[in-house]
Amino acid sequence: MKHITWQNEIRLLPFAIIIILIIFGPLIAPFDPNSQHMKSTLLTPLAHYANSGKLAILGTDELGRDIFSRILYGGQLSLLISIVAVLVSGTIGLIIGTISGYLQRFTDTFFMSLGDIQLSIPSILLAIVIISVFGSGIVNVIAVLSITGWVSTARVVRSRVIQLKETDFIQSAELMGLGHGIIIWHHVLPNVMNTFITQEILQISRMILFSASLSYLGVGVSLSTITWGGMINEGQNYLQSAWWIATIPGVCIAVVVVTINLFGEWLQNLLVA
Amino acid sequence: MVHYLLKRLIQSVLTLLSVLTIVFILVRLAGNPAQLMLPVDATRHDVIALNANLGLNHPLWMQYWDYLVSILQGNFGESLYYKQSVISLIAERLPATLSLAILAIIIAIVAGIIMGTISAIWKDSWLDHISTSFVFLIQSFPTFFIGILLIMIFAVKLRWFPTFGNDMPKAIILPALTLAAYPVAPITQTMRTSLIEVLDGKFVLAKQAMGFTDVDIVFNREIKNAMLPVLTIIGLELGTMIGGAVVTETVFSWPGIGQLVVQAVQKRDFPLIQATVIIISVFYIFINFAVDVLYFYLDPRVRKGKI
Repeated sequence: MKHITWQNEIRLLPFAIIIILIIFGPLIAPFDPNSQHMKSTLLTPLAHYANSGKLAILGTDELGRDIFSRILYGGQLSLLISIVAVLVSGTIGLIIGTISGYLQRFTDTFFMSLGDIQLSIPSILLAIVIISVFGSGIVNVIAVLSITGWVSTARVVRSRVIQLKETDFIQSAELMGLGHGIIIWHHVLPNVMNTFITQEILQISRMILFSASLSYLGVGVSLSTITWGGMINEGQNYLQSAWWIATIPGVCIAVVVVTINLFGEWLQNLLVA
Repeated sequence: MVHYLLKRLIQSVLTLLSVLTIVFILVRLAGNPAQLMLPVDATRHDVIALNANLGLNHPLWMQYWDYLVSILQGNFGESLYYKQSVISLIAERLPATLSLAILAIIIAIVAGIIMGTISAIWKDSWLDHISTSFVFLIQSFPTFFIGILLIMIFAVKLRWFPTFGNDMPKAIILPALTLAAYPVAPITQTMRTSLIEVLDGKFVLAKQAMGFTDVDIVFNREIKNAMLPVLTIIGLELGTMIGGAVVTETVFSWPGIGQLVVQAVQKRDFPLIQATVIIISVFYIFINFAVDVLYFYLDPRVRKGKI
């Protein structure tokens, strides 16, 4: 493990700020994200509301809704969805990857072929089919993200487990006659964890991008729910007159993804290298 | 050789069969397929009639068999919204998607190979840093947002290109650039890593000893050795691009299959959704098969069955 210094940790600041903003977003939000201010539509960022004179930090949209407040609410939902999806798909991937890598033979062939088959349907199409069959909604979006996400985790975990099986300590454990369950629980899993956690952090940003695409296409959570992808979709109609409506949520997605990826890299240096 | 190709062919067919089975199961999981196939305001009588018509009163294995047979015969039924055969709808839209995808992959390959090569030859220089940061950034933006940024800069502000539609040839540039953003990052990264690896090899050292410069070495020979992993990535990325086309076509109202499938979902046009998904998967499986065959010819190790 690397030595921890404040110069290294300062890079975590943006990550911490974003997490705090998103967790406490609704408390910080100056306005109800759905309340319309008809006298203050399409305000540019940093303009003032007509009635109250309050500051519209990131401007307002075509219905006079406060973009800053909507960003905070939408961000909370996207992060929540992505994290739950990563927890679900990560757990499935970890279990399947460990079992496949450890047992190999038929089990391995079975699960890996299953993964190959799934990857032969582009994820977005699979998502579209599932949503169109089962309907939109938060739970279904999480299910879709989890289904499309487990394969990459399983593959990463599996190759790590196969490496581990070659090591002396696992082989001695096998020679000592320990059961599979005990070896996996006490010797394999603790050594897979670092690789697994780094992989899952990066998966969160992948999920954020993917769920943003779904809500942009209008096949994500219901249209009335605030999402960054949905905000970009609505804002696209106003590109000529009000660039900020679509641009701000887009930039927010990029900033969050960059921050999470940097955090992932930092964690990888700390844990794996 | 025949053995290898045959094995890959059987694998592809099995994958296709699995895709068809998954779609079949998903449709049945959702309840009565007739209900999905009919408009929302269909009466009970309509459902019963369609049930009989689709053979939904038969046992499941027979339904499955009929479903496979009708798809193999190219019979995907009729679109609920457009009231015409699903196959003809897809055939109308296919050229638009193909031209978009082909142009995009060409852009991505050219840009990716150039950037990756520059990065590898002048490793750790400022050129390398710019290209690496660019790749990092492009992966952090949702691709539809890259499309919107391009529209804003080049169509709204500078007015060089139209904002949407298919007024050729100008209209294809922005969507193709957007779609190229998907594969350009992995192609650049793979090219860079792979070329760096090749340049570190002993034969390159020997050539350097003979007095060849890095640029000479790269262009005369080594680029070919570095291309194999890039080819695999290109094959994999073609699949991502098919998904990307769905989003890109929606951003630019590009009249291809991607836009068709999104509209089909919004209109709950199930026969159309089912057919587009199957056709796109067929394309994807075929592309992967083709990449493998190409790989077979390029890499002697695969040919001799060593990998």
